[in-house]
Parts: sequence; C-alpha cells; structure tokens
Amino acid sequence: MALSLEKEVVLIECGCGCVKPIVKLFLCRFCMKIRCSYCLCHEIDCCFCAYCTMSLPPGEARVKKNRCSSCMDCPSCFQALSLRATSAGRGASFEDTSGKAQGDNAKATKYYYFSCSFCRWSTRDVDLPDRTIAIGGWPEKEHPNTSRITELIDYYKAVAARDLKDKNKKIAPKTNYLDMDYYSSYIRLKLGAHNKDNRDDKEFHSAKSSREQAPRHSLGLTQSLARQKVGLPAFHYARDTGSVTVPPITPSEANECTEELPEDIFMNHTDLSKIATLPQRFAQPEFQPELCSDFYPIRKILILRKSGRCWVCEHNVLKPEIQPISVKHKLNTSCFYHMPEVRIVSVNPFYPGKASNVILKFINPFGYKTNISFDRLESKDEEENADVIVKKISKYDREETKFGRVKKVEVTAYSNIYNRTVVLQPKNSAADFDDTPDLIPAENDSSVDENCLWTKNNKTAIRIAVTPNSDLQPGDKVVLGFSVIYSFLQSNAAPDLPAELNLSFRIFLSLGNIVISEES
Amino acid sequence: MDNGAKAKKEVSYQASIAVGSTVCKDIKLQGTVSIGTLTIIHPKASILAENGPIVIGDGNIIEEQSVIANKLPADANGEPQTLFVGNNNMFEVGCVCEAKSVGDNNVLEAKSYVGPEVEISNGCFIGAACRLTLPEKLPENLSVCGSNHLRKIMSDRPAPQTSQKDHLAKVLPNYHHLKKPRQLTGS
Ligand SMILES: [Zn+2]
Ligand SMILES: [Zn+2]
Ligand SMILES: [Zn+2]
Ligand SMILES: [Zn+2]
Repeated sequence: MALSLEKEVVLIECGCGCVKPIVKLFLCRFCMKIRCSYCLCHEIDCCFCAYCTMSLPPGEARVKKNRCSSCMDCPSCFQALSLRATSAGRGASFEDTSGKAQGDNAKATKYYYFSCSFCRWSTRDVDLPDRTIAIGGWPEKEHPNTSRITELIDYYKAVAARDLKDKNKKIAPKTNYLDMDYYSSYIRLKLGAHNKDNRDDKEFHSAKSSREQAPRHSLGLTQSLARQKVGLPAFHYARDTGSVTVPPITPSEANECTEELPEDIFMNHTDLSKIATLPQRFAQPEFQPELCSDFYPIRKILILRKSGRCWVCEHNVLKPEIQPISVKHKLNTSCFYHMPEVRIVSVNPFYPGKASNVILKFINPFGYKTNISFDRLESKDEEENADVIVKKISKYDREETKFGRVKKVEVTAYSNIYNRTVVLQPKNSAADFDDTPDLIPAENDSSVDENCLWTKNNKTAIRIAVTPNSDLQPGDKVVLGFSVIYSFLQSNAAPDLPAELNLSFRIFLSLGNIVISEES
Repeated sequence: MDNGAKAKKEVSYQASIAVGSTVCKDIKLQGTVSIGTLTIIHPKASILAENGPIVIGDGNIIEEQSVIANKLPADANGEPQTLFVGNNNMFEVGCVCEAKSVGDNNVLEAKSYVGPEVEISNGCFIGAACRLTLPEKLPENLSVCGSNHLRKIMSDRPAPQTSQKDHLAKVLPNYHHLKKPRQLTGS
C-alpha cells in the first residue's frame, strides 16, 4: 500500500515548487499550505534503541556515543545478539565469585553470555568470560588511544571556543527563532566578560531575563541540527567567559620506518575463516579487528525519531508520541489525512491530439462531506509565501538545489475536467469492511454529473476525456495537470481563521505514454 | 497405488528401524536404509539410498521436506558405497544433504544444500539457504552462514537439542502414524 502510494505517478506540488507523492507531503495547519520535507525543519525527538526500546534524550545519547548500553550486535554478521543463560559458567574469572559463593550456592547461580542465533557466534568464541548479571554492565573495551583522543578533542574544543569568541567580537548575530540559543549564550559571553559595550544593552537584558533560566541543553542537539540546516556554523557553548586557554598538545611524530611484515606471511596458508572481512572491520571502526579472535560485541546503535516543524510559522506538523514503543503520533498533518486523494483507475491508449477516456477515483479522508472542484493550473494565484520559502531554503539548502530539488513537470495533455463538482461522502472506517454494492447514479438524475461512474462510501470515480498535445511523438509521456479545490473544515481552528476553508493543490498525473503504432 | 510404476517405486526399499526411534509413516524411503535409535523423522522427509545404502545414527532430527540422498559413485571394486550419518545431527526443514559423509552434532539449517563431494565432519553449522557444492572436507565446528557464505570456526559445537527431541518423541505419535521398529524388512 505504502509502496503504491510512494510511486511517482500522482504528484502534488508543494509550496516550494517540488512535486511529491501525497504521502510525503504535510499540510501546515497554521499556514494552511503544503509543506514537503525541504520546507520542514527536522528535529530530533528522541533517540532510542530499536531492540529494547529504551529511549534517551539526545544529549545523553551523545554522551553514550549513540549506542545502547544493554543490547549488542553480532560482530560477525551484525544481527542482534541474544542473551543465553546457562548453569555451567565458563571463562577465567566470574567477577563476583568470591570464596563463599563457590559452595552449594554456585549451583544456583546462572551464567549469561551473548550468542548470535544467525551465525552461532558467541562471546565464548573470543574467550570472554560469562557473566552473572543478565542486563547491562558489559564492560566496554578500552581503546589504547583513549587518552590521546580525549586530549585532541579537548584541544580542538578549546580552539573552536576561541575562534567563536573572536568571531562574536566582530558580528552581533541577528535575532530570530533559531538563533535564540546562540543569542543568549552570546549575551552571557558579552555581559560576563565586560559590560562596557552598551550598543544593544536593553535588548540583551530582556532576552537575558527570559532565556537565562531556560535549560539551554534541552534542545541542544535540535538546535545544532537546525543551525546546520540553515547553513550556520555549529555553535559550541563557551562557558568560559574569560580568555580561552588552549591546552598544549604534543604533536604526532612521523615515523620513517614501518613495521616489517612477518617473515612467514607469504609461506603460510591463509585461513579465511580466522580473518575478519572488511565489513566486519569497519563495523568496529575504533578497533578494526584483523582476526576473528579479536571480535567484541558491538553495542547497538540508537535510532532517531524525528519531528517536523514548518519553516514559515514554526509550528509542528509532525510530532510522534514520546514513548518509542508507540507508533502513533501526537500530531501528524500528513496530506494523506488532510486532502482528497486522487488515484488513476484506468486509462485508454493515448494518441496525439485525440481524446481518450481516463477514470479517476477521489477518496475523501475526512469525516464530513467534501466538495471538490477543478481549475486550470495557470489560473492559480501565486502563493505569497512560496517565494519566501524558496528563498529561505534555496539560500542554505545548497546541496538540494545542486541536485535539482525542484523538478519542472511538463504538462503534455489537457482535459475536460474543469467546471465540474464532485461531492465526496464522509469517510466511515467501519463501512470499508461492509460489502456494499457500488452506487451507480440513476440515468436521468440531473443532480449528479453524467460522468460520475460510481460512488462507494467515501470514494467516487469519474470519467474524464484527456487529449494529449498534438505535437507529441509516439512513446512520449502523457502528463495531465490541474488544480483541485476542496472544502476543509478546521476542527480546532485558530480564532482568526474561518472554520471552513477552500483549499487547493496542484496535481500532476503521469497517465502513460503515447501509443507506439505498429502499423507501418 | 493406482499407478503401477509409482507404487513399485514407493515400495522398493529395505528399512531397518531401531527401537526408540520416532519415524513417521508418511516419509519417502528408497533403497537400503537403517535408522538408529532416538532418531526422529518428521512426515514428508525423504531418505533416498539411490546409489548405495544409507546408515543413520542415533538421536538425529530430520524435519519436514528434508532430503538425505546417497549420490556416491561406486568404489574402485564397483561396489556401492554407504552413506554414514552420525549421531545428534539436525536436518532442518527443506534441507538437501547429498554429502559424502556426515559426522556428529551437525546442524543443516532450513533450505541448505550440501553437495555429493562434501564431507561434513563434526559440530558443523550450515546456515539457512547456504549451498556447499565444491569438493572439500569441512573442518570441525565450522559455521557457514549468510548470503556470502561467511565462514568461521566456532569455539563449541552447536548446542544439543535434547529437550526438543524429547518433546517431539512425545508429540509426534499423537498426530501421526509411526513406522514400527523392525530389522531389515521390505516388501
Ligand atoms: Zn516544499
Ligand atoms: Zn537496547
Ligand atoms: Zn552473528
Ligand atoms: Zn506553517
């Protein structure tokens, strides 16, 4: 189902100019405009482990290197390891087996080890001792260069802080929603250092009083993500208000001689079953084990759940529930639930300049009757916001523009769909399971369009005549485009908006290709 | 039974089934087959002693749709060779084993295939849908798995399926007709 909807056959135009399938678009309830993924600010909602569904706030997840502390992946085949319990322990040392536990009590003790049910790798394969605690507490493998790495990280953090301080001396950042965090830290930096500069003092103080107490780290990752999105440099919290001291580091030294190869390397038979493959080495980038005997269970990587925010009005359009176990959303304004869906039922062969019948089906997602009417693409007013967004995004979203984010859809056919109204019945989830016959309108019912073929619950099919442009060649694509205007009821309307609205969207249908005639 | 040729093919076997084994009636046998004690054979399994006899040891589990076939060529004297299957092996659903010989404590996962020139030693694990076709003798405790046939040596043989065997021996007779233990019968 999702796959059929994701196919790029029926495409809807977003305010920013890109065309996407209905399931990839959102309707901002405050702007009442369509937003695609480029028109949204993506924020990290929570990090969680998909295996044990333990969730962590992004900040804490980063401290834990975005890995779960209790779940492991197989270092050999990357499937999840399962915990095995056994009464017979193995391994050199059972951490807590002190002298007295070795008596009769030892029999009752359970020993745990990890084993892969897919490739049968187990922690016993690499002589890791069994453990007596089931969950958590697997020691992390100590990296030989940890101290050097932390030293370097500290050094570069200090360098970054110094650079930022230098930069802040020169430019005062502009205020906007995204920059609040940046701004408040900037104020602290400024005020704390020397309170001589009175340039924007009043503004600083008001911003300070309102923001100072707020937990600055709560949105830390989100903010930095947002900053990245708009192309601003990542911000480091410079707590040190005085001059930044850069700790000294010992530079690495280049070495002339490399290690000699073992003498027997060309003589010995290679046993591939004992040597790690490249994917296995890259799965543990910090250790890159060469031999299977150096494997160590890989901590499971946390995955993200994101929420979306409209770039223009900064309201949420997509907000999942807090619990990672839940697949529901607190707020999901996907267009799939907020605009009538158009599907192509059947098409007849197309010939240039000749009208062919096409049957379209309209599906009402709402719990109330909806009227749909159609309009030409050209007559649509330019969205006043569209330019703003396009500017806002294309300025920063260089990569996407480079790869041609905005695809131009060329309409190659016209139809007689305009000046027609379709009334869609309310959606009734229970009725979908009833085997009610299709309602075919009576022959001489003047209230119903003669081209309305049938109606079933919230679905209505109509027949239209599509004429491909006469200059098309055999094999060319037939693309039909029109605007759909539909009535939309605001359930929790903002006070300044009317309860019922007429919304519209531009839709492009790839109906097929011009028939390649077989006659010579 | 109505088809003469088919009926003839179905009955052309000589089976010796040890006491203590659980062998369902609805299996396909061909040629001279000997089944050891505590061995469990699910319905619809096939044991085809095509080129020579098959001797299956004790405590094996042979699941549905799996095939054990003797495809060995005749030896130097022109005598048919016997396929020996050891003890406590596990043949999972739909696996095909045409190996030269099978040792003890091996696991052939679902839909795996072992060709006629492969010698399975002891404690080997052949993962689901893995195909071994080239002539070789598998080292002990070898594990082959995944679409890339990733090989490695395990520290230990696969865990024995004792409780599974006990369970099957209890449950299978409730739902299936069993072959009676016998010493070399035929018909
Ligand atoms: Zn967009
Ligand atoms: Zn976990
Ligand atoms: Zn594995
Ligand atoms: Zn908005």
